[in-house]
Formats: sequence, C-alpha cells, structure tokens
Amino acid sequence: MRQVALIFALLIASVLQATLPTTAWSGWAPAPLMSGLVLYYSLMHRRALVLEAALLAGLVEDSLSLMPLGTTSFGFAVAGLIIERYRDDVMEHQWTTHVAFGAMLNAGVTLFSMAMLLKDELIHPPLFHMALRVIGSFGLGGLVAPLVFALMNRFETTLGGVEAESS
Amino acid sequence: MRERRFTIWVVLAILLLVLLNLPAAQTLGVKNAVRSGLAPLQESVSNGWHRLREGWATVRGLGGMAIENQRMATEVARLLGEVRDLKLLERENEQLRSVLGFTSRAQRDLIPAEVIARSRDGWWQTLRLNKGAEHGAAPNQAVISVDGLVGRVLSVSGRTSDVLLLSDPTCRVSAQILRTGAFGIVSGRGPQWDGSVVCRMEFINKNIPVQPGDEVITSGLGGVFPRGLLIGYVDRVSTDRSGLYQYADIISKADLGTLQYVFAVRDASPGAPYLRVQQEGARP
Repeated sequence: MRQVALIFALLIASVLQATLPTTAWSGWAPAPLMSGLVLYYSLMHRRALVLEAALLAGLVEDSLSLMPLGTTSFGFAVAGLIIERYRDDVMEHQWTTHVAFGAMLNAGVTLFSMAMLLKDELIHPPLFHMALRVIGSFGLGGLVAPLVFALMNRFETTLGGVEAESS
Repeated sequence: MRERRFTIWVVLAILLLVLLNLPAAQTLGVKNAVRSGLAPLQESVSNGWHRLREGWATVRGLGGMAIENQRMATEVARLLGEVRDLKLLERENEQLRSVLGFTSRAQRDLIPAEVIARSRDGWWQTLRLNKGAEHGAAPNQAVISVDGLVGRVLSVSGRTSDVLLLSDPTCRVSAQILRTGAFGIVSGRGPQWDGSVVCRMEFINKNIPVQPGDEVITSGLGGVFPRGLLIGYVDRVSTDRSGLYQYADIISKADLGTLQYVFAVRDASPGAPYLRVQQEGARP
C-alpha cells in the first residue's frame, strides 16, 4: 500500500509542480512539491523507502525538464539520507521542523543542480539570478514542505500506512 | 548483516553512477517514456487549470463584455476586409509569378497542438505540447501561434513535444526587418521581472536605419524557421560595443506566457509563406 501511495503522490506532485506558475521574486523556482515529498518520506519512513522516493522523484522531475537524468535523484538521495540520519534528534511532527528541513533540502538540491548545470555549461545565468533562485528555493521549500507533509500524513493515515500524528 | 547492508549501499551507489552517466540516447528514451506516460494527466490538469483561469477572467470581465463584444465585432469586420484584399493580392501574385516563370509555392502543413505544461523556470524557457512523433512533430520544426513565432521543437516523444521558446537565450533565429530588409539574429533575453518577453536582434547593419515599431520577421535563412513569420516589433535601437553593428530590443508579438494553442510547422524548407492546418487525426 505504501508503494501505491508513493507512486500516486509522485504522479500528482510532478504534474502539479509542472503546472503551477512561477514568480520573479523567487528566481522563477517552481513550487517544490517533489522535495516536500522526499522530506516527508525522510522523516516518516525507513531508509529503503526514502531512497526509493528520492530516486523516483528525481527521475520524474528530471524527465519533465531539460535537466540531465539522475542529477536531481542524486541530490534528493543524499539530502534524504542526511535527514533520515538525524530525524531522531528532532521532533518530526513539528511544523517548525518541516519549515527548516524543507527550506534547507530545497535550497541544497537547487544549489547542487545549479552547480552540475554550470559545470556542464548548460546554463549561463547572471550571478544575481542564481542567488535569487537559491534564496527563492529556500523560501518556497519552507512554505511548501509543511503543507505537503500534512497532506501526505493525512493521506497515508487514511490508507493505513502510518500512525496518526501524535502532536 | 553489516555485509549485506554494505552490498546494498554499493549496488545503490553503482545504480546512481550508471544513471548519471547514461548515454544521451538512453536517457532520452527514459525521459520520453516518463513524458508520454504523464502526458494524459498533464493534459487534464492543464485543461482544468485553464478553465479555472478562464472562468475567473469571465467573472471579472462581466461588466465590460458588451463593450468588448462591440470592439470585437468591429475588429472582425476590419479583418474580413483585409482577408478579401489579401485574397485579391494572392491571386494577383500567383498570376505574376506564373508570368515570370517562378514555380508555385507549396502550402505548409500545420500540426495544431495544445500546451500541457510550461517551464519558465529561469534556467530554460520551454513548453510541452500534447502532440508528438505519432502526429508528425519532429525536432527543429518551427512552432507558431496565431500571433506569430513561438519557438522551435526541441525534442519529441511519441505523444508529446518540448518546445524551446523564443525567449530562451539559446533559441537563435535568423531574422529580417520587414520595412528595410535588414538581416540580423534574434535571441531571447531570458525571463524579465514584469513577465514580458524581450528578445534582442543583433548584428544589424549599422548603415540601415531601424526605428521603434518596425516589424521583425523570420528571414528563412538557416533552414529551421520558414520565411515571413512575425516575431515582434522593435522597441529600442542601440549600437553595439564594437560600433560595427546595431542591435534592437524586440517585443515578441506572441504572448508566450499565456499560450494555450499553437501549431508546429511540419514542412520546414525555406520558401512559401502559406500555411494549411492539418486535419485532426490525419497522419503524416
């Protein structure tokens, strides 16, 4: 059932992320629904499922953009495993945790993807644009991650995949 | 137990490394499969989103509908007059061409398509269309809207195509200023703060006068874009640093931010300006 929930969530998130408009103030960064999903799995599930979510989310996200395949998967996997490693040290149901981790995860993956694209000379944006993009990703990550977490938690609780939120 | 865990990590690391270093042909296959698989869902969500926006626009514009209706009726009457004049000119042109011995120009096939996703994320400026190789779309076909040039097809899967927009800095179009015939290269300037689409036409002969408001069209050189497609209008003219050429900022005629329906031009050979819309369901 968890696998079905993951696939369903990935489908919906990928399509919505590609459809929702972007804004100039966030450096035209898309709404980070996929990184919100990776954060949810990193905080709530075992390591194998974290990796599965990270790899699939990255694969779908890269496929729907011009990003070289595997770049985002790698970023998500590393970030997901780091969060999974330290999740026992934080309160995983607190929205402040989701805001902080969501912002850092999204900004980190954006920074990594940007570095890879610059290395391969696939993009040539001005420095200001790059800085704005990272800051925008940080802000959007912090805004979107708690929403995605709450929705996924409700969805999986309904399906019986996880226990109801205790806080 | 520790050995097993180590093996799993090694396998995962290898899997990621393989994924990151797959040859372009293989990654394109994977990407195309995902795009084709998600296309129906993207189309439904895109349609729903479009209807929501239209509904909202209708509610907001109810007060001004009578005035808008009157303005449209006047516009239709004016356009009908223009079409009649153009038909006469077309006939006259054909007759003159046959007198001069030129070969008759063939009509082009247009593939109508709907935008199902857009990526104006700052890195790239692209659209995804709901028509792909199965419908006759192919890489490097010009993509136009009723207003003018939109971009070119970048890649296709069975049921979708990705279009590189005119506003992308890597999309370069050989262009011509209609009034003077001056040639130049138009490329995108990336996303602007106000969401407008600005392109720049470079390498314009400095001895040819260019004015704000001049129409810019495709020149047909380069083999990708057919001749005579409207790109936009000159906004501002300046001389480049070397002092050898002029450049002009161009405002795109097609509103690339709100496009819903576009056409891929199937026949890309330079020549005829005439366009014919492919019938739904027709195969190449």
